[in-house]
Amino acid sequence: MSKRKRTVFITVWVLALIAVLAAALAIGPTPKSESVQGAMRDAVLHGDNQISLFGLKAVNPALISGFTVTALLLIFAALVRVLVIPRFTLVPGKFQLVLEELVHFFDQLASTNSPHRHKFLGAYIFGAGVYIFAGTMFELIGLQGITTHGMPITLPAPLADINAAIALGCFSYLVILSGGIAGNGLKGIGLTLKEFSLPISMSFRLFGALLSGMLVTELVYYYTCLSFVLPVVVGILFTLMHALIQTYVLTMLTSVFYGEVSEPAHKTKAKNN
Amino acid sequence: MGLPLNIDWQQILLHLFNFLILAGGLYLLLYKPVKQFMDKREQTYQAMNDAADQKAQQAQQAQQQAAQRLEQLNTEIAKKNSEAAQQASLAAQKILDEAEAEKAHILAAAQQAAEQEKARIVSQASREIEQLAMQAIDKAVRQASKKDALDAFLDSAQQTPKED
Repeated sequence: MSKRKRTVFITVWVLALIAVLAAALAIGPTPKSESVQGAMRDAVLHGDNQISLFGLKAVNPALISGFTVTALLLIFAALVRVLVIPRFTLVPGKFQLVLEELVHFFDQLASTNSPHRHKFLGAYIFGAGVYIFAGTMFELIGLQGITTHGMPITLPAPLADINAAIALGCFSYLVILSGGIAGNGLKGIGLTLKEFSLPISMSFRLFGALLSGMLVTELVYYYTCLSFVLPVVVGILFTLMHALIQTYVLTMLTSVFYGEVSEPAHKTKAKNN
Repeated sequence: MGLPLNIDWQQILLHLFNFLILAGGLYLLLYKPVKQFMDKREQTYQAMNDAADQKAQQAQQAQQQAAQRLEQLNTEIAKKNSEAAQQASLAAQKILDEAEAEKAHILAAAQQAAEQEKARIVSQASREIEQLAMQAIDKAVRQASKKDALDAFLDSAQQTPKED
């Protein structure tokens, strides 16, 4: 591209930006269908904006997000299984390296924190980690759903719903309990039950982290004056960051507690007289 | 009375159902095959590593055997050298002994030959003296008539050498 063409391109681009900005400010905000308080309350409680699940029942939008994420991930996994994995080579290419690193990360996390029993744990935290990460990143796509009131709504991250967070947190606790039973029998149950606050803390930590991200994003997008530049940081970087952090936190906590309760008890030596 | 935060057990179970499908599917489609491949590759490299170690060990053993063999050969060579030197010494001694014996034999033979020669010469000289004496006698006899014949005979007899 010559210097003159580049100058013309930049000038046109800047003029277009100014025109769009002026038009946006001139038109003014669309009359809000709900207040910011109402939007935030609904983001937490999902009392108003619900989506019909195949005409059977009105459910929170996060459940539809969960099904969508699952479908997308399974389709992707099936394509990879059929098209990519049979072509794996001893010296990996870029995509193969990413897949191997992903599997290796969770396998390593499981074997490091639970050296005695980690085969099932590795598979579980792989599934949970991929679900949390992909589910959180899913809100960036901005897929639309139609509520039962006929209003369009952006599908949120699945785990921004308290029900999804409770499901994953409690199931993680059950996985830890199963590790305790497999490793130590009845004693393992006792060890796991000692951490009775774990399902609540894991559920609400997950829910709180993802909900807070969603609320901040919601708040930023609610006001027109905050809709420039700031969403790049808030919408993408924050989402990416808390997707990574929450994935790591839940998988790490599950691995650590699983390793603790499944570790075989050490026999105490009889004291010599 | 509903649960706080609109917690819905049915939706929790639906989320759980959704997650179980996802976790199972991801395990079967991604985690298991990728891990199997990684384990298989690790086994392949481990086998290659073991084979290399085994070959290195075999090479080391062969080197040790070669060193031992070399040492044995050196010992054997030294032993053979020693034996050869001993045999050479014995052979030289034998040759010397034989030479001494031959020398003695030659000397004896020479001495004997000299003795024989001496005896032959003496015998020949005796015969010659005898012949000379006989000639002198014949001559004396032929010249008996002459007065000096006796004197000549006596002179001839005195000139004849005595036998040992």
